[in-house]
Amino acid sequence: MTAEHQSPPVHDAGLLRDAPLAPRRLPRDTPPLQRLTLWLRRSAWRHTLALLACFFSLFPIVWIVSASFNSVDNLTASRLIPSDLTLDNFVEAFTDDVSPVGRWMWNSFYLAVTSAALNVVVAAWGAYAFSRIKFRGRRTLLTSLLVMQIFPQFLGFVAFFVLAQEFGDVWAPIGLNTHLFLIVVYLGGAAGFNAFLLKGFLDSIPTSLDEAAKIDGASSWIIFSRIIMPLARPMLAVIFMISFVAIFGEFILASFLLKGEEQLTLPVGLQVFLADGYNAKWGVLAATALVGSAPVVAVFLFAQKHIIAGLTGGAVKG
Amino acid sequence: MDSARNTRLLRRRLQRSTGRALVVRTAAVALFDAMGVYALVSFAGNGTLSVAALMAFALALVNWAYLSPRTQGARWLTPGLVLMAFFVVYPVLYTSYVSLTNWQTGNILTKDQAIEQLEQRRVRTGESGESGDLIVYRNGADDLVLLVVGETVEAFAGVPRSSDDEPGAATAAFAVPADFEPEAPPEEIEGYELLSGLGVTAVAGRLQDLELDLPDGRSVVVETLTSFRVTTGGKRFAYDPATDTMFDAQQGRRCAAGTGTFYCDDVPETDVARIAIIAKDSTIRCSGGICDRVPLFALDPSLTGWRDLIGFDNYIDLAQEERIRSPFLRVLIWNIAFAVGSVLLTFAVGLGLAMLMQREEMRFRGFYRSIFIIPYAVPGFLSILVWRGLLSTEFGKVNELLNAFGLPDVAWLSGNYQAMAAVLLVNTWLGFPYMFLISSGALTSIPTELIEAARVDGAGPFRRFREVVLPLLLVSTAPLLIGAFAFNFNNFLLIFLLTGGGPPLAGYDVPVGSTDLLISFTFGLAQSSGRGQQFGLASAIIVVIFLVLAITSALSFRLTKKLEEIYDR
Repeated sequence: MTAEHQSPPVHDAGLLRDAPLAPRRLPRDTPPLQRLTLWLRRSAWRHTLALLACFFSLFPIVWIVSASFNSVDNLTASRLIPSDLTLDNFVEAFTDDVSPVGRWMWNSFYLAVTSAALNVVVAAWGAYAFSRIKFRGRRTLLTSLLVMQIFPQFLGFVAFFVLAQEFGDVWAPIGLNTHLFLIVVYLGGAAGFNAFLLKGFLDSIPTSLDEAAKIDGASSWIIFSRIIMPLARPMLAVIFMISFVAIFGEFILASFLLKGEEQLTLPVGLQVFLADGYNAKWGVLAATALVGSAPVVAVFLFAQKHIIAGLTGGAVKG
Repeated sequence: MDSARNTRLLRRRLQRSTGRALVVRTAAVALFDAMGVYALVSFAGNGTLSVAALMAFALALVNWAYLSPRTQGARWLTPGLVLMAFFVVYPVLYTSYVSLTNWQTGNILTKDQAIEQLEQRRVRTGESGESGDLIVYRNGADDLVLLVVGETVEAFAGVPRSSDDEPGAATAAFAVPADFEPEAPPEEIEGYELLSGLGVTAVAGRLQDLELDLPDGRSVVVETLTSFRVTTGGKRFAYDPATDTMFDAQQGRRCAAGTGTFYCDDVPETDVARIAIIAKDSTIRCSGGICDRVPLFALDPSLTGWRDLIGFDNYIDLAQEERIRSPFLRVLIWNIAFAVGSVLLTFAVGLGLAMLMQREEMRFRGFYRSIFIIPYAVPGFLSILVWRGLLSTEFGKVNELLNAFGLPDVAWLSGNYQAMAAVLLVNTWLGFPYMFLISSGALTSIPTELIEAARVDGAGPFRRFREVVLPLLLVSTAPLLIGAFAFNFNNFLLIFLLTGGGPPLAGYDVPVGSTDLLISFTFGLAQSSGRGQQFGLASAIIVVIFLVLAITSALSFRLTKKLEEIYDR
């Protein structure tokens, strides 16, 4: 794979409008009846299919919303519009002693923010080197980063236990069952991908800018921090948001490496609501789900276009 | 000129900041070195040489990158490289190493740890007569005193020691009343008060680890809360580093270190566990009621071994041993089918919708588009859990919907094939928005003149799609499709949260379910099962997964190159 494939291939979706696959709009003077039949023939089936797809898309979402406001504690007996709307599930989710949902949400949130911020820093340094500095073994290194990228990090879970054990022996706050260890694991896992994503963007910034600065005697640190990074700010934001979304929802590594109620992240903690199969607390789960996805959906809607560009660049769903 | 002066000023400021940066940098490197060397010593001291080597590499890289005046790229890359070395490269290498070991329940420890543990074992007497009554006393400072009496044990009260400590002369013996009866023990011994039954239960956890030395040199250990057992006190094993052998005092035998444990010769066949003799990979050779090369665990399963390199045995097991091979093959086939099926389904739905939305005068396009993206925005761990509830057979909304159309209930999560369908259904829901997005993007990049030209040449819509649109689409999306394949090949989250790999399949020795992917199957092996944790075997499967992914990506490199050559003219 070359850099071109990793850099965002998706453009403004509005460009789609320029695809003249069919005749343009009907003339203004078309009689209404003809308009209707033409619409039925041309567009009605499209809307039918689109509505079906909408139904498919929204089916689980609607039930999350419904169950979260329903006093009956499951996804089953409830009706779509609950007979008695209640906020009890939300209250229970955030006050129950057994399941400190608020705590989990905070854990997830600050883990995601910290890791995402550090991710951006590490990725920025790496991308700058790959994009701006000619050094021996650059191509080889780039290719090996890409190859390493295809191995899902969580497959190495046995090694993480060994590392956590050893790190913890040296300094307890980075041992097993600590957030700090999880953060460095996330950092290591995302470094290659993010650096690659950003490199594509940096390549598009003209090198004449840094050459001019170099002539004025600027060190590479000055070029990096005063020239390149300010220009790359939009892409840095994208990397931050992609990392945030991915880490906020990360389940597998967090479930391996964190134990103890207080430490858990939201995805891991939520399992307690389902621990007891038949008495699964769907209402509370749904309420939590609603609140829990809010930050992510918000981030998504806020920066839809940019995130999509980044995500489709790497073919990864966090 | 003003501008010349400005330039000079700027240059001077830049140079000064460079000098300051050097100081800061050197200080940072020194700090890192201090911490790193400290950690290195700790790792090496623990015997984890691989982590120590990694740390040494990190130290070398950091010092070279930031202190050598000639490095350029390395300065920027080092933080990322060190992180990747620890958390991406090392796990891969370590997993490969584990796959060559017998690391499993019974072989968890290192050799030193295993020897240390064996040397703590006591010779067991096992005589039924050598036990008796145990009575527990406690004082205000929460110290315990044990009073023991039995057929061969005269009444004796003393302060117990931890079972980890060396047996010594009995400490602080207490006077025991002469008219002592176990049924009516004294209420108090020199400030220590008799504990009630409930009181004894409360200290049960502590009792387990206590031993009491008798005046005659023997020791007693707590058997139940009210009885004790006599041990003769001696250590059972003694390791001799010079010959790398272990002397078993209980049997009077010297056993030599071999792969993963010690092996004893001249063992009576009656002492050896039958199952260990007939095991396929058994080393035991028996003739005339005497067995040679008997591993310790065949004498007593609680005698621990250590993890040791066993070559490619795990891989050979995967390929040859039926109880592992048949579930492995089953899972592998379903895994490939699942990954391919997921990509095809999500791509078909996503591309279909993208083409639907392509017609520019269609109304509500923006609205539809935002709805289609929603499944992608909701965190997967939440939506998968919700789907699990919706797919419940009896109460699930999906079956309710089917019933509304006069269709019967489907056992989505409990039937083998139904569960496979359910997994694909949910994965289609999760994945189609992504495919919709990339297809929309790719469709816009197809030059419309090409399609128009095909139309003018009389190609119908299907022909236009098959021969113009699809091939061009694949050029730009092929790498992403391969990426999606690799992702789904290890879609642990979906399987773990939706079906847990289930429903379980009967008739296999190892735990396996009909929707298990290699990775969830592996996870089951690494966690506990009837045969304990099998990290070695699990790692071998992970290496197989690595290979599949590596081959896939190698093919994808080639494919994209080829496609580019064909279409990129």
